[in-house]
Amino acid sequence: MSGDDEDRLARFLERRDEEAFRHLYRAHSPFLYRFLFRWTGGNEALAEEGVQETWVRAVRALPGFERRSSLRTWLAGIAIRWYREESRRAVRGEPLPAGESAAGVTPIRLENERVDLERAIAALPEGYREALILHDLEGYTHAESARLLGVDPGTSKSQLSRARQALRGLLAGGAHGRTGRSDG
Amino acid sequence: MVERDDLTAEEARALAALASGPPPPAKLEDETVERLAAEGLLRRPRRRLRAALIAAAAAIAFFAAGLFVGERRSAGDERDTPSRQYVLLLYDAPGERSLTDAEVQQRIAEYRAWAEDVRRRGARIHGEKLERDGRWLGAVAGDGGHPLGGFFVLSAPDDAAAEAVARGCPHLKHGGTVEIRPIAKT
Repeated sequence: MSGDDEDRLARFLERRDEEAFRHLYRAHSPFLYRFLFRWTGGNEALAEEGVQETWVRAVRALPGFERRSSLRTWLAGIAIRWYREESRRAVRGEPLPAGESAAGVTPIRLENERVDLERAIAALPEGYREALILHDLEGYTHAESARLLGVDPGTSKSQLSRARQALRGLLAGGAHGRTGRSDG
Repeated sequence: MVERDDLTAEEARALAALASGPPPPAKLEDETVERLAAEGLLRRPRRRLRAALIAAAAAIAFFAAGLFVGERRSAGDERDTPSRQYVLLLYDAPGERSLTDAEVQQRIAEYRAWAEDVRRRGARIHGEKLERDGRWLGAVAGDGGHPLGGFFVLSAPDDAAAEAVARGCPHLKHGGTVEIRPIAKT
């Protein structure tokens, strides 16, 4: 854990006051919100709720935080567990489609606007999206991603591979054929 | 054609460009602080408490703590799409007082499930059940025999959308009355 995080954490655990919390919040909430926004498929409201729930759970659990990971990773884990609980409540899990064919895959192009890329990520099946967010957007290794997802690294790797192919397909308007352009 | 498992440099750049991501809404920090304080997880200076009490509308948003949702939008949509806020005032049916504790809990779960469903479909809604007894200050307003049993705060694009959501509220099914009141723009 970084020295800055350690300082902020120590200050908060000592004082438990608003000011110390706000320092923690401001250091990590941009990540948490961005992470949850994409994790939820671009749902702002769920992302907001998730940020708040994550902090509530984190503050409750902070005294037991063993610092075996960075604070950011620990928060991401809490956020992921929260979202899974939410998903179970909503019974909205969808089975992942079979592996994409590599044939005719179009590269993810830089000239695609950021908006299209965000939409395409949001349109990915959940398991693919999760693997892509952790590895390609947030920079976690396969081992770290696997730990956060509760799967083995091989699964994380294959999910990422399929996610990238699916993303290429979405951006090309190919196999999945929906980039969310018309109806958002 | 690209390798199955590898990103091209261009792809990597495109994904790296998303590193910043959308920022959290500014209000979320205060709402989170309020929520933590309400749950006894945070100490707050007195002046903050007073300010929070004065800012009643903001306090409502905070106390509700949990059923907040926004319209489902993708990242590139107009994130500032205007929507109005409405309060759905839930007046109880006259026979409501005879509910047992278990029935009340069942009712709360039912309303919560409805609100979650509304939220899943893209609206922003939160709400609370109110206790029966409150204190009146100033001139006492009659409740017409239909006490206020709870409320929801809903964000919707317009009156018609708000009404469409309100029509699904289980309160109506139980014989209650729902009043839809737009929150004034101040």
